[in-house]
Amino acid sequence: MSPILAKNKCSPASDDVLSPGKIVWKRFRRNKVAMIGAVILLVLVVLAILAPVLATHERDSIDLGNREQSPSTENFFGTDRQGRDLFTRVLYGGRISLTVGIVASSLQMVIGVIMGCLAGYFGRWVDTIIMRITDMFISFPFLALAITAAAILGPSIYNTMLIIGLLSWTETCRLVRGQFLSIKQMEYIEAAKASGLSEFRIIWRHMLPNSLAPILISATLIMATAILVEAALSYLGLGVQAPIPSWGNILEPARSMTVLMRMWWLWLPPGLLIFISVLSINLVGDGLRDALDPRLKN
Amino acid sequence: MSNLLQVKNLNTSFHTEDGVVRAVNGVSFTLNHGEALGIVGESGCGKSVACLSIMRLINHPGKVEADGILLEGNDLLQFGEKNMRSVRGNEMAFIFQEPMTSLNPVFTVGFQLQEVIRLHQGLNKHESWKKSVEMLKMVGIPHPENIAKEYPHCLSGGMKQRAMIAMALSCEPKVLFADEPTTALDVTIQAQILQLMHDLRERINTAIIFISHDLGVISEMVDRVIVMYCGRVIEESETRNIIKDPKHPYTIGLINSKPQINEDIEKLVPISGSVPNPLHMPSGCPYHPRCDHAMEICAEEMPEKTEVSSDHYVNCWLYSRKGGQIINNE
Repeated sequence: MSPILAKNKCSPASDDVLSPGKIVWKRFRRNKVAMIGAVILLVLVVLAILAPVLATHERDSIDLGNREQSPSTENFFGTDRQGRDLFTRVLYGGRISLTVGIVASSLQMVIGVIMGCLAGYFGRWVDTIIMRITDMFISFPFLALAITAAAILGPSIYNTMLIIGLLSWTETCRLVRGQFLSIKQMEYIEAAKASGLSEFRIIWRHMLPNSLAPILISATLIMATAILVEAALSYLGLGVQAPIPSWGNILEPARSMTVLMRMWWLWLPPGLLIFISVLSINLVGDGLRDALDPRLKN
Repeated sequence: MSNLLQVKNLNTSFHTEDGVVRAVNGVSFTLNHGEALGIVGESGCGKSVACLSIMRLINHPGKVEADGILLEGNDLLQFGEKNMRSVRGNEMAFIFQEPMTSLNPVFTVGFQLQEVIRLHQGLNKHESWKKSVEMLKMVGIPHPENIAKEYPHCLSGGMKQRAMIAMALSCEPKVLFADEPTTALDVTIQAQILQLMHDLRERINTAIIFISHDLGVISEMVDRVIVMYCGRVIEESETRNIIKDPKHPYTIGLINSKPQINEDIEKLVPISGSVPNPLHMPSGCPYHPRCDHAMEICAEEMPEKTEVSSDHYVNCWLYSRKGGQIINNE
């Protein structure tokens, strides 16, 4: 046997090769707080998926004789101003809110990653143009721009996704660009070029997987933001429109002082769920950051 | 032997904000099938840039110009990017200096070999995997079928360099550029890698262009040596001539600044001064500010290529008739 192998720390019995993914999962699992976040998130997702099964009432059935009832065994979370069952609506609202969060953050990620790849890899004028575009987006206050866009496009669930996605890609773009600028200098990229791989393949198969860690972390955090923005827009009546429920527009009656002071069941459950979902997503994101940070590698 | 690679008057310049850096200046050479050519010079003399230029791997703001870079008669400068890609890794391969960072950390060693093999040889997944393992075995990696499944961080530097050699040779290239492949390795591994490259060269009959600053390494590996200084070829001959009978004062300096194991030398003689700033090249011969034999003409005009003995060329006024003076440098 060659003396080189004796120095090799990894076992040559390759049945349990530690792939980067396995290493990250192993470290993530050890992080209790992040695991709690992940479990809560999973529960919320399952509740949203199972909404039709768990719902106790028809989602949009109005019962004006039974308005603004406080929680009871008949209506777990009480009823709203049109007499609709709030428990049912909050369950379905979770579907909408989480979907908007996922779709919007996926959309911004696709745009951000593509733009960031182009800017970071090709540099020069491509970089200049893309960076100036992101500067333009960043120089507006996000919510003001989102509200204006919602007012122009008209409020709907699809427009909400579109607005959030189209307005928040700049952060990912800058992140990916920064990653690419440093990865481009690595010798393995030079080696990949020297072995005749196409530029597309180098970007897609060699550079992107190497910048996946920060992209993944930022994607989770941006998803939390997307849920918050959806809630904010819907709360203002510019997002998802009734009768489709979302956690944001269930909160809408809380704009009135009477509701806020006397009818806590109208706004507490959806508010709490927004808080919990955003918190658990952020916990997962932090856990991922710790698990993926190369400086913590032992 | 026929010409495999012919480089004519290669010029590579970098147009930076501070000015134009001429990294390679009028370099010409020919390489025959199966020949090993060494390029020697200090850091920054343009050895690596010359080779990267031949493979057209110089990025903006670099610019490659030449009267021709002929690979078996085809001018690579006329090739489109797509044709060039089928040359890279297939007919010409490159081994980099730093094995620790030359493999992509997120893929297994086998996957990376497989990728190149599939690209150029059109083998399917199973066949290319078999070939990858075969290549790893050829470069002397024990348990190649297990190592192929490992990620690069599990391999030592010597193993990684072996894997890089396997990757470079996987498509049996006609020309292999080895850019200081042993510099980053410790001495015992160096010897193994050199031995390996020597054996493989005979087996595959690949022509090697071996870049190094180490004349000792060069003398064991190659048939012919080019000495470069500031982007120019200053001496060219068979290895034996360069080592035993160097002509250019710079080559003499390089040899004198290296300890010899079989000679009793009191003191090593370094070359005085340092490499000139590439933005402000001295006039005339770039070596004249550091040269002990510098004459007036050295600062004024570039010396021409002169044949001092059969197949031994020097660019130095000391050996040119125009210089007026031929000294005996014993």
